[in-house]
Amino acid sequence: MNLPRILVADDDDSVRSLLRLTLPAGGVEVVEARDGEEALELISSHAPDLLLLDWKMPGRPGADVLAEVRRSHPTLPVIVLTADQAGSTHELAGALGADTFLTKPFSPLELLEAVESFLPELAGDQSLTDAE
Amino acid sequence: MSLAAPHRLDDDIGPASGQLSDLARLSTEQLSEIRHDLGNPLAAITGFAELLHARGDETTRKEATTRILEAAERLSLALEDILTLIALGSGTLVLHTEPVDLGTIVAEALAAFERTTTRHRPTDRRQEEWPRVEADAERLVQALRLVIDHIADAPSSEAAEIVAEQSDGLAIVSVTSARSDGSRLRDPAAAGAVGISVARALIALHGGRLRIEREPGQRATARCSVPLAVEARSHESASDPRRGR
Repeated sequence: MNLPRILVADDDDSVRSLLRLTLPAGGVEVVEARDGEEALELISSHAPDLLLLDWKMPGRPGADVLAEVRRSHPTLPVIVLTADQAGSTHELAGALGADTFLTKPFSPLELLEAVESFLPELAGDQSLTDAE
Repeated sequence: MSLAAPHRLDDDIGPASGQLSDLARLSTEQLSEIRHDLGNPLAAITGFAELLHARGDETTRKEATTRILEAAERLSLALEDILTLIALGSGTLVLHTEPVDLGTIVAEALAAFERTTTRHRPTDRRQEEWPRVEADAERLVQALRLVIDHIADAPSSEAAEIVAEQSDGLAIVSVTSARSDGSRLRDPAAAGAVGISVARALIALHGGRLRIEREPGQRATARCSVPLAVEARSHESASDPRRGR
């Protein structure tokens, strides 16, 4: 069975690690990109089912990547991660075709809910909600 | 190494006067950078804490604990940089200078850099002994940490390089990125980045300069010059017949 593939693009290795640990182990295949250029390469080579995209990366920022993704992969769901609460950032990301946003700091549960809305086959994972 | 003018000089930082008051007026891009620098460690701390609460497995416990401590250190340094920015902008930052070993300063800056990232530690390529400089050790460590962080920004399998030299009563520390596209400096918006603004102001307060050279497709280099300590200047003059007193 092919697992859903999620590409995590963030220059911050702590955030990438958090995303990787939050996503259900064994339920998804996680591919990681450390900058925008690498993200675009991995989208072409790995054909992910979902992109988690940091908005502020050195070099090629999230806006550039999103614009390129919308040209090359118009149906790929994209969740933008940003520490910026400014409405202008959300407006720009929305205009470029972001499907939804998560503002840092975000809760792992919030992340899972957002991911499950695009990959409903993951909805059975209870690893974060059964602890108590 | 020559101090001759580089092929193209993008940032040539002069004396502190006229620079510091500008720091109080942050651009939208700089505010966004501050949010980013605070938001990422905060996301790591709260996110990993929630994971720790929800899952008790060994992998999560080890990873979350390490990441929380690392993020707390980053947050602490980011707050220190913001407070320094405010002090610089208000003109209340006072240096306490004394002769200090530049090698110790560089080592502490590298250690602080390493505590907050998995990026490669810049390789020490210096040919000579580190000289002694006249500096406020704490502030010079902070400035060099910010410069290293800026130049060695992009994750890479290669390390940035760091060298030192002496010339005309100055010690010059140069940090060169590993890749031509390997630093935040390739981002035009980064020219006014908060971290490098704080670094340049701190170095200017020491009576030094921060020059940043970058060319499209070339590795970026930051050159920080700081006055040598008096005894080191005397030694430099004695060893160079061109500089007799």
